[in-house]
Amino acid sequence: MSDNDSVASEAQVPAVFEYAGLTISSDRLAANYEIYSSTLALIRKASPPGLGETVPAVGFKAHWD
Amino acid sequence: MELYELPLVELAEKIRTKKVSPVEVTQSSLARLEEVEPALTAFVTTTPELALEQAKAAEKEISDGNYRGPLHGIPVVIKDNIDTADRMSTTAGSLALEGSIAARDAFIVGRLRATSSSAQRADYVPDTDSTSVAKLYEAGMVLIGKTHTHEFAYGATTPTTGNPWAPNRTPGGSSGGSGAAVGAGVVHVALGSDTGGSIRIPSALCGTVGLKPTFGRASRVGVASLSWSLDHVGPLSRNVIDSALVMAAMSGYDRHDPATVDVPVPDMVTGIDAGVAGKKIGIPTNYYTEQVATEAAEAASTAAAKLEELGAELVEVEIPMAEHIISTEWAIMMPEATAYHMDYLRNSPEKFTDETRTLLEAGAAELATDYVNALRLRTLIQAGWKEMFSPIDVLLAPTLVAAATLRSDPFIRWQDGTVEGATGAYVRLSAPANVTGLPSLSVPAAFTSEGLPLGVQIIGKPFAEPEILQFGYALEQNTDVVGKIAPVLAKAA
Repeated sequence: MSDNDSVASEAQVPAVFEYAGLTISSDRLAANYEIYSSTLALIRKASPPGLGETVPAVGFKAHWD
Repeated sequence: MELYELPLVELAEKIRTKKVSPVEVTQSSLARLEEVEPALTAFVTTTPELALEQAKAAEKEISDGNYRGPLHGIPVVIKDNIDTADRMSTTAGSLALEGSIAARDAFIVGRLRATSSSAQRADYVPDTDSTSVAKLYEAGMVLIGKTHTHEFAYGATTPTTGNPWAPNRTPGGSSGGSGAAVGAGVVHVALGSDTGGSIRIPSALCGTVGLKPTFGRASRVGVASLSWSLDHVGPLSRNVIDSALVMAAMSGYDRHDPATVDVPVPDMVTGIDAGVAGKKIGIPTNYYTEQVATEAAEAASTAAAKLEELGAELVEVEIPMAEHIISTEWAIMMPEATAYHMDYLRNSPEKFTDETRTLLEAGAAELATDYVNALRLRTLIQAGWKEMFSPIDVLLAPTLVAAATLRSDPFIRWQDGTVEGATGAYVRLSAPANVTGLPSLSVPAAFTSEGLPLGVQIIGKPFAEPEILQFGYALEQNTDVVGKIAPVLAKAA
């Protein structure tokens, strides 16, 4: 299973923040872009190709406890 | 010798036989707190009046013949992201004391906040106890105070607080105040929470025992969430048996926490001295061996050799899917944390520290598909670990890659020239037990040449807390590292 290497560009990061309803100044975006992009790149590594029929590790139960 | 210096089981026996009153035990604990707190600032709030009320009530119950067990009348501190109801009999003061130190807080705070060490919750006063705290109250424990956390448990250094073995160094986190309080001898037991290592990291750095239970063993109701899928609650303690007593007391199914599993809670103390002869210990050949300080690796090797000497067999194992563990941890944790804090993040982001705010913002930018795929990877990692465990009973590894960094310089500089932030570095070896949900016990294993504690962790199969406690107990009984109280005042001088 290979890693998925992807880096969010300086244009993509503010776009997604705007869609998420977060107000982030351009100064703040510039100061933290490196952290945002490297963190998102790390996260993307947990989304490799080839997961096939694997189901997510979640625990919803219809039973009324 | 002061009462706070005695082991918990000895104190408990003195309380049971009425040779010592819970009031005297509590007073000793409060005196130690007053002594070390100026150097550590481990507490958000201290509760001397409540503690003495509870201790007097315990004293009366015991004298009336209603002894509840070995935790009855024993002081405890609680991480400040865990709710405790307003139980104070006096309401003399102001709540607007954000950032004030505990020794002063103690006399003017009349209600119990749960701030998560954040300005976002400076005035949050819960009206009910968390399930874990309620269970410890049922066992008769006495609340001394609420301890600092890295803001909302989102980090591993707890900048507000000093390490009891070197106050200019980090106590770790996020349960840093709890680790500092136990390491300094203020209490034998503290509660913490653990999403990527937040019980075991401060335990290892402060020289205490720390137990992250199996996911689902204990309820998280009343604990401010960092990540619903990865959060655990458990004890930090001076000795191994203390963690066994507290973990058993706070465990059990809770219909209000859908992660809890309806399985019987075992006796974690009886048989803790069964030894390790014939047991098989997995020794990792990868992952836990990469970018680890020599002294930390040697501490784990020495512990493994000691257990082998006691009759256990060491079996080399390869950690499966090692390259996906950290990305899976962060990909699950970050969007869950952001979802929990989204209202704050949209409406009052300036009240977060810049570090927490930046992490929460990054979580908002994660694709839902990346989150779901991380959960799918978690399924595969769990399956891989199940197979890895088939020839072994437990896995043994260093708890952390290195000892405590300076508070003023929270980075680790490796020999190859790379520089790693303390939180990321400390989480590396503890996160696997969060992703897999397996129980992990950190036990003090050695001291560095600079006198800083190092820990070793024993990871068990699901719901095998009694077994990993047996390994920890065996190490404690056969080494001279566990159960020490840090000489805080000498170190602070």
